Amino acid sequence: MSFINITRVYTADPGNVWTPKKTFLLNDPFAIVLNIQADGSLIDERHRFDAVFQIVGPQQDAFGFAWWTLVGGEVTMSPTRDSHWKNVGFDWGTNFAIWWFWPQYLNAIQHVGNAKLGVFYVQGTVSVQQSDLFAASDRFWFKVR
Amino acid sequence: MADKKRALVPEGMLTLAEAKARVGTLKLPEAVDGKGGGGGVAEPKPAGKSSRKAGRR
Repeated sequence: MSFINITRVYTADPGNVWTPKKTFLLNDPFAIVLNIQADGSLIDERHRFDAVFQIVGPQQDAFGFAWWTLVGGEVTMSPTRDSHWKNVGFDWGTNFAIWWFWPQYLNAIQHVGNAKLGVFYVQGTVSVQQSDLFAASDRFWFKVR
Repeated sequence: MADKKRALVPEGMLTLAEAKARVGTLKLPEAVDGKGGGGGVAEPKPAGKSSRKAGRR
């Protein structure tokens, strides 16, 4: 039975993606890392997958400091910052990590109000193309100060 | 009292109502896409030896 699992999710310095990092300054390099275990058959059958990396602003009280952005000149609640990496091959074996990174955390959320300071979390999903297989991560909380 | 509470909020934080009231003057930079990378995690080796190898796309 084929499988794919996200065994771990965390934030990190893109220059040191194997080590979780929980606190960032606004100008620190920033990466979201997903550790993945995949069945060998997915490699043998040359499957590909799509990944979504999310930074989540957990405060969604419309009267508080929810994340927002401008859409067509209108202020709109925008509680997640989503990055899509589509059509990824199983190029790193059955036990690997993928990450999405920016030179600075600020770059990731500079278009989002209220996302520059606080305690947030990251999560991710992977979906194998032309298959029923998918996986979703836990949450990993981090702080920006 | 409201002013006192507001003073405790970090600079730059806005409620939705505050943001909407300032929508004409608000400017946010464009979103930055970021980049992807990936790397294999080798089977664990005896203590003291690195068990990881990484590559960038």
